[in-house]
Amino acid sequence: MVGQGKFGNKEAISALVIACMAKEFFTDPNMIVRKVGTAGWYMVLVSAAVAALGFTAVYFLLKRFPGKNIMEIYDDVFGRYIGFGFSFTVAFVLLFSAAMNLREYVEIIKIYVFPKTPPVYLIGSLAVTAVILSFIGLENITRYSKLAGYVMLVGFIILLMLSSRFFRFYRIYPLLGYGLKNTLVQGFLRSSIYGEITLVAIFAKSLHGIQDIRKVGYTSLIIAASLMLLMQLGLTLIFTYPFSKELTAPLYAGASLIHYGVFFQRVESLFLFIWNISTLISIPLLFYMVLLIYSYLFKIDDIRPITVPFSFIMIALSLIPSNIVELVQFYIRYLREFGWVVFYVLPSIALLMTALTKKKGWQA
Amino acid sequence: MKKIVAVVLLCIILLMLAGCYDARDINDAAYILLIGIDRGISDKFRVTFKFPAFEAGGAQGEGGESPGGGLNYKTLTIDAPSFSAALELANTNIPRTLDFMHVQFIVISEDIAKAGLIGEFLAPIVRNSSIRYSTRLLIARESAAEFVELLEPFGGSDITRMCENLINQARETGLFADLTLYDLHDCMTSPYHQPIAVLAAVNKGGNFIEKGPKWDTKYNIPGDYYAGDVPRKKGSKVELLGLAVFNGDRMVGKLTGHESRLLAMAKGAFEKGTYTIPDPKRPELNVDLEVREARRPDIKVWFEGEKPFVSLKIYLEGDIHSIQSGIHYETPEMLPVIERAFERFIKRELAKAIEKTQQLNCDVFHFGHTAVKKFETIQEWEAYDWNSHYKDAEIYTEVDFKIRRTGTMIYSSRIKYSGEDK
Amino acid sequence: MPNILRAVIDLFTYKPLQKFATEEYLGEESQPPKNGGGNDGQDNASEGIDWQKILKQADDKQVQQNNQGNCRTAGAGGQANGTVTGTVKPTVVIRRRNRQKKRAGQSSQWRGLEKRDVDLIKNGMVASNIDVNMEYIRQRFSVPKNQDIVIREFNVAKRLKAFLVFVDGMMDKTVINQFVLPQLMDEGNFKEFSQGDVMDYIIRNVISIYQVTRIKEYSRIIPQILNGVTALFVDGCSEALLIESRGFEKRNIEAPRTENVIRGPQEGFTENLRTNLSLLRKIIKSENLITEILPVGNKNRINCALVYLDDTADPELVQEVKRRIRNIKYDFVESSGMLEQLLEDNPFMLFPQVISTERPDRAASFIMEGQVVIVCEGSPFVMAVPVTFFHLLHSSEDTMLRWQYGTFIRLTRFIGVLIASLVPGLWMALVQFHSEMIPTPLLLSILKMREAVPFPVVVEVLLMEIAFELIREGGIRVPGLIGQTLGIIGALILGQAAVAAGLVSPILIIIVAITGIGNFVIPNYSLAMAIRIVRFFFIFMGAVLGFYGISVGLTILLVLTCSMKSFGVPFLAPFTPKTRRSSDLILRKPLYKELVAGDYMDTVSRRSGLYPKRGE
Repeated sequence: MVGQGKFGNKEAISALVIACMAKEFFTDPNMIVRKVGTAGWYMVLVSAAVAALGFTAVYFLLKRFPGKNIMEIYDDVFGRYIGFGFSFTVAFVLLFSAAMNLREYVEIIKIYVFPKTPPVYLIGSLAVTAVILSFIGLENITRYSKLAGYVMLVGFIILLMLSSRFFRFYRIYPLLGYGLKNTLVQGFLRSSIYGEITLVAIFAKSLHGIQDIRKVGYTSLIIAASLMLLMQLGLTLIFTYPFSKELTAPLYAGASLIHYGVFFQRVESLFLFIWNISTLISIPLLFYMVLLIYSYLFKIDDIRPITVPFSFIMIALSLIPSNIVELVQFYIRYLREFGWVVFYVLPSIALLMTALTKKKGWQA
Repeated sequence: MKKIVAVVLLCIILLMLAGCYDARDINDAAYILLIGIDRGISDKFRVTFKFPAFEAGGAQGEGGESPGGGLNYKTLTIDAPSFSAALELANTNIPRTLDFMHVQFIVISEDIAKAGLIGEFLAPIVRNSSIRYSTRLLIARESAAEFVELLEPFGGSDITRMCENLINQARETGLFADLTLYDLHDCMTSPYHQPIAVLAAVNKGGNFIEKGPKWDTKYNIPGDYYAGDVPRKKGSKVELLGLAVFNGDRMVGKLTGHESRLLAMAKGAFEKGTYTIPDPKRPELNVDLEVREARRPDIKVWFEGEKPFVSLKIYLEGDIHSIQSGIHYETPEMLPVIERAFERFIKRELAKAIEKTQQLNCDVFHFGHTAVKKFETIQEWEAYDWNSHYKDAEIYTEVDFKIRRTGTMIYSSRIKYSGEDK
Repeated sequence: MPNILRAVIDLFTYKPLQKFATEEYLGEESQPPKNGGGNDGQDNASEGIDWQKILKQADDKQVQQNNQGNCRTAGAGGQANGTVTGTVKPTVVIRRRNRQKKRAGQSSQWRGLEKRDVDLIKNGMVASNIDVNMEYIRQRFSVPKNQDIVIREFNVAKRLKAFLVFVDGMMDKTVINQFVLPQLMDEGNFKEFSQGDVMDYIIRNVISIYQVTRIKEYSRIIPQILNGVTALFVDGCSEALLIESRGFEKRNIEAPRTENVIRGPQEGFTENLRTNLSLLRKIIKSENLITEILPVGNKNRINCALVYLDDTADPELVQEVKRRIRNIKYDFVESSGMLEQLLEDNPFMLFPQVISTERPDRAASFIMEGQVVIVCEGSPFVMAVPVTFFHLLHSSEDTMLRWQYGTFIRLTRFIGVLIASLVPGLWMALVQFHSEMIPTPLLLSILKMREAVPFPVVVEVLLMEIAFELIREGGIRVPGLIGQTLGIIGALILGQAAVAAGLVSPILIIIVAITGIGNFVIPNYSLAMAIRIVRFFFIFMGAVLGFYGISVGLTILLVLTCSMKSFGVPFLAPFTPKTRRSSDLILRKPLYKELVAGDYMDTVSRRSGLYPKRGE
């Protein structure tokens, strides 16, 4: 199998949190407000609770098969063919999700920063980065994400602090948004916000043990959930709900409001680094995961030969949506609202199967 | 590892070959600093741009000049069917790309605002990523084009500093507010309250009466003017004073500077302002007070059926700036006399201002922010429609004022006249 | 063709007749088979030795002596040389085979020589017959063609024939003149000598030199002679006596040229290996300080010393360093700079993977942290491995100052690195893509200043950056004190003139100057060079895609940096991967809270260090 290297918990946590958060920086807050209105800030907590359940299933599954990653477990549980199908589905969804996130990111920076640059060029540069990073390996991607993670966390907090001047607390009222039931349902559907946490099952072998997997999973869930909460709460406090329903990228718009005197204003480009770098980490990470699954499925020893072809597939997928509305309201929406099936339900089925058929004998 | 280096190099070369689509030399852009919008005559809108101009080839004399010195500004007015069209037309005669990132003010004429064209006009502006939500928005009393043209740096050569400092005066006096495109757009769509915008005008000195009977012991309430009405001569040609009140995107009324202050007090945004009230003991003389907001006002909203009730309590504090009468007010017994007098004054004025907005049916006092807490879901809140119920609201006001300091004098000695009677 | 093949097979299967104790640095298995052939290995590297000739010359002499009963000296050498013709040049391999074939038959045909001597000399050992030895030495050193090799013949106590070999200029004359020759020649010193080992007697009673060694193998004697040691051969002894007489011209210990500190010791390393080692010993007075000397360079064979603390340095690391040094197949290693390039993990990586320092105190602190320090002859810079990014940012001053000041200057340096690598790139991005970020008044004044500049910003920036590089490089070449002055004056005048001519805008001069100063803040020269190059990379990225381009550049560069390893230790080691670190990365703590060694290098005794934790 491919040598992925080993890395520590902090590296894994920062990589996972960045992977979760990166896709939420763009049109998702807008989508959330459109669905649940002012209740978005605790909707993400509902999602986190659902994600915690989902991850628990993954964790128990991994615990039953110590030292194996999720692809091997699927094979063990369902046999070669169904397992193959399961893993392949995950790989496809991840690749598709990477492609859509890529496209979304490119659309946003094209709107705000590079109005004239052709999107293929931006997509291409990101894909090249993904290829290079995949060559260098998962170990170093995660190390870099730890390095960048701290800086980005500080940047994110600075961003919130600077825009706190625009916080008006009346904006979180009415507290229940479009109704509690609506919030709960949407929270459940969008639990795939944290779906990337389950990537830990794919690179399970790179961590040092099942204890670490548990720690990594829950810690990154908590961190990602609190960041999401802060972000969503901040946005709710800055923009009234009719306003943020309109904004393509509310976070970017929020950053562009920052204004402290003649000298310190229009600094949103500075925060562009947070979005750029988090995307530059999350997309290669998803991409690498796809390569890992694929190389496992087809017994390829080295991921490098398939890297470039896959980057072309990713580019091709990312070019499918014909416009941003289609992208946001169809592809990304359904990816987010049905992502939980892939991220949580598949492992749960596997867990159920092991519980029903082979209750004993798996604790190696 | 060689491969990685090769790929990196390849990537760089590719980037180099294909790049620079959006790269633009800073000198190739014309940085618009002010935008003025009027109703057009040859076309629907009349758009005025103001941008800096430089003398070309000024490098030789560079050493001696201070940077930024010797700037002058040019304006361009174009009639066009929309903002975007104006942009394109502007580029037919300006050899540089227009850049809106540095716009200080967007000035819209009262005409447009009253005709309800703001939403129509702002639609392309708020979609354009290069026009920022943090740009200040002004409503010009007469012609926005004139305002833009006459807004020149006063005491300095830098128009941006001029604009920024002018707006900062809102905090010093409370006579207007620091409002941006973000505020306007936020309020326009908001079910919580109605928007306001800063009033601006060119002051032509019409109210400055050169000759006539001298003013007697009466006096005006400070700042009780609309923009452009301040009786003054010379100075800067423009002024910002008071607020425009909107219903949706239609301007329906105006608040004077004085009313703007009361509005700020009720919203808890009032920082500092000077008031002149009649001396309670000798009404022909004045007492000057510098007033601050002591803490945020208490606002309570309750409903009886559909009818909203609001109670507003404002907490103010202040220092005595002058006591013309020389009466010794600086005692525990006498201070409350001034305090009560001022409280009465504010309460009266506040009630008037609130009534004015209720007649306009525009909740610019932001009572809706408190009212919303009584609603649980957005559906209920939108179904109730606070903005249309505002006019029915019964509003009780209360003012609390405390004098904290008396300036450099803590005792007032009587002025002695020779041959005094008493 | 089959012959050649067989010859090759012969070469690889060739074993010397006798198994001799091999020198320490040649005995490892990792050596290629070429050197595996015992002591004969020598003649592969150096000029082929013609055994026939040596033995013949010596034999002739012996016969003559036997015949005439007195000693002949000078003529033999000349004769020897006269007969060298023709036979030398076919490949070593074939000559060997011949030799092997002929050996049995020929060894018996020497008239005056004992068979034992012949065997010894053939195996590169000192023969007991002094003429054989002398001929061997003459051949090896190409005397008399080689004129600074001195062979001084004399008689020990007027009886025994003997000679001294040394390299003129490498040794201390007074040692030979006052303590070796007079005492060996003096008959009085040998009055009590009756029977037994004359060498032993000489060592114990005659020569009053502090360090002498008896060695049998030429392979060890020859390098020592080349190092300046004097070798004494005495007739009848099958050993040579190496007399420590090194004393060549060397520079005095001076203040370090490149790493100045305000507070701290002011002595620096010199080009002399011994001096450098003594400087280290002076600081670390520990019996655990190990100094291993290994030769480097296939042809020039300079010495380099591995210095480490036995109980602190990771044994695997020491092993790895030794392995790498031994496996260097490079003819000419001149100094530590070349050695560094031959040792590093990845030659394609931009950042240095070895840290070099001129300061003994710094080197000592590396040793105390468990690093291995490599001192190389002929270079005042010593290297320490493994290295992490944080080492490269430290200077010895940091720890000499109180922790507040230390932290402050380190932060300054860190900012310097950021400025030096990013500022021109950010400026490019800012001006070309994100002009909204420039505060409006500043923007207006920049616009005004740039109004007359005809170039695009990229050209402007590159122009000034290249000019700056030229000034820097030129400043080094310009002799002496003028150099620095020229650098400053050059930069000032050039900048001023460029602005006046309307070629660049004044603000750019500031950018370039800040970048340059930021670069000078970096204490490590190699890192500073790397950052100088990185800067151009970011200029390109910024010019092409603005902040996004810089993000891409940062990501690729930093991921590559994360993947970098120095002797197996990741470059960003104590941070990521996280190890139980010595907290001494960027911020410093009060000394008593700092542990010097961290386990990022897996040191044996982790807690040892200069400043043990309080309460331990």
